Amino acid sequence: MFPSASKGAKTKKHGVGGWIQSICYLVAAWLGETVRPSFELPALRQPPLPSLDRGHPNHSSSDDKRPRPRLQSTIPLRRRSIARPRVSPHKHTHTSAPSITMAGFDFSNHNRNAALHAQGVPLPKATSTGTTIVGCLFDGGVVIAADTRATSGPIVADKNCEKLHYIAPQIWCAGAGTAADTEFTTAIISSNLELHALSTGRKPRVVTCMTMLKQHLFRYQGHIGAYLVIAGVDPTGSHLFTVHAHGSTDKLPYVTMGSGSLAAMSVFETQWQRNLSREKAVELCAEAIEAGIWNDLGSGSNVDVAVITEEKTTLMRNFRTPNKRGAKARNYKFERGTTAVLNEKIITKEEISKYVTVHELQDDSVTATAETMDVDS
Amino acid sequence: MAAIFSGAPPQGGPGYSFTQTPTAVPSGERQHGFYPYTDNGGSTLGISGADFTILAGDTRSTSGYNINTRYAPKLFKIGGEGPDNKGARIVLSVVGFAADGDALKERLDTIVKMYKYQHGKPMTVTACAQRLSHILYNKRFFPYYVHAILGGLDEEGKGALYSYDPVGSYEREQCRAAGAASSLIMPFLDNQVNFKNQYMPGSGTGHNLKTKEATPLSRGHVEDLVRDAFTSAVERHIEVGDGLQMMILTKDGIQETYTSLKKD
Repeated sequence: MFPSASKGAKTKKHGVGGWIQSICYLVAAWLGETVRPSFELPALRQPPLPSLDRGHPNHSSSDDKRPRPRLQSTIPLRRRSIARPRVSPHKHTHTSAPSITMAGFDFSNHNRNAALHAQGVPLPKATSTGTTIVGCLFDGGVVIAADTRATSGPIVADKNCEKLHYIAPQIWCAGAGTAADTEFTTAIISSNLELHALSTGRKPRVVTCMTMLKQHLFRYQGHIGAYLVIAGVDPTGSHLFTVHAHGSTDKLPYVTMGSGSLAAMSVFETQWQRNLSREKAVELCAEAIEAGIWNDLGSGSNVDVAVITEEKTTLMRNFRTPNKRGAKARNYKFERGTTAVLNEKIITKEEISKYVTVHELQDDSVTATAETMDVDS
Repeated sequence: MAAIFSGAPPQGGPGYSFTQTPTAVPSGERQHGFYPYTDNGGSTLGISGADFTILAGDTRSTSGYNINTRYAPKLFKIGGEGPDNKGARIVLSVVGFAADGDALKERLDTIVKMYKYQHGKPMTVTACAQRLSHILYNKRFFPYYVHAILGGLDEEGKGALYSYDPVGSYEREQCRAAGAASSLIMPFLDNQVNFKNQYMPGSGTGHNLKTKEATPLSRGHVEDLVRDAFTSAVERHIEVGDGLQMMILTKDGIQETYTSLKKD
């Protein structure tokens, strides 16, 4: 290989991501913009679904306008454990496990963390969705609803999070408990259910989903803190279940879960009746969520609703927004030059052109497309 | 069923804001505990100006994830005449354990009233401030679990503001935030009242840049800052909300206002 060629290849292999980023910053700096590194983790959202009606117009507003997440992140990749039995860290299932990477959770830090905790190091705090979630069956389908507050201790971590998770086009799930656990368990069951549907050639059933969830959660003895309301319509009818973190399940015509479950259940117990219409069921669920929003400190902000019928699923994101923030009394814009700067260096376009290729951007509102990802069309 | 696994903090024990995790003894003995304190959440704030002092507090009272009431005042007039404290010139704000706050207010109010009967003149804020410190330190080993802020006008008519820790250490200050959202509000106050981290644009380069000097703020300006501090704290702290009670102390007396806050 030619030396120049190999050099070129090497540069491309190691530095492309970083390069592109620096170009972006430098171009921004040259344009007189604030240079701000914006690292974002790739979003966990699934692609839009064919039979999904997004109902409310402002559903995809904020998410879609954001710049595409960059391909690289600053989070170091955690190395997978090797040679560790998957099932239990306590039991010796194999005396000499084969040296391969096993699927499932990584327990390699368990002993270290236990020792650290014994010495008084506090455990990390997980974002919990101290939540109100509800579900209600009606004639011809099922409704689920959730509030949109996520908390970390007494602090509001997210004022408008999504607690309604997709599992299958006609099966949706509302999650309470540890945010990460609800997101990952629903995602894994969604994935497995899709494979199951593909291999059987049939629409997935809600009982199947519920069974897979309870078996997954029971295996982890409550350590996966996911409390779920599962709702869906399949060829056998409309179904509504709750699944607790330890694996127990309920099948009821109306259900509530999370820290606001008592407030929400009080609404159901006073207003619920047999053979509700779709509109009545949606209103009842929204009322129940509002009871949680006002009376439970773990719940707050907006109401999200999803209606599943035989034909389609309608996700009504921010169905009710009773907690809009009012205008501030004062304006807090600082005069330019208020922040102390110790030194400042301006790199001209000509100077930086010696090292990198600089592209002129036509439209200020469009951020540079550094690298386009190949996606199957 | 759902109630058992609600994910809410235990209702029997103290609120999670106090770091009192029940200690499990490794040898397996049963350990009994007595926790006489609870945290009732909420936040207070005080700012003193050239000829006025403003004290404010939200009116929510919580325990765990529950709301006890949406209207429990944290601001109390001290001294004056009768049970309505007519003509009072001093205000005490207390946040933390509400029962202790009430007891503390009752004690201080009685003392200030007795002082007037015995000496024939009202107690000065300076004297009241030191007396409050002594009341708190008297219970050094079973403290009043509160963060108190005392406001009034000093002998020269200037705004006076004193803040206390639960065992009586006190200091006269320009502004102070206390309670659940104090860590959210105090940095805002540092920046907007004392102009911390603000410099005069174009006044120099590098280390020669001049800091923006704190100047006395007008009453309207301070009231707006207080409102914005609380509406923002409500957005991010679950224990703050429902209503905002403000007391504005001037040479003409105490003016009390109430504005509602978000109730979620």
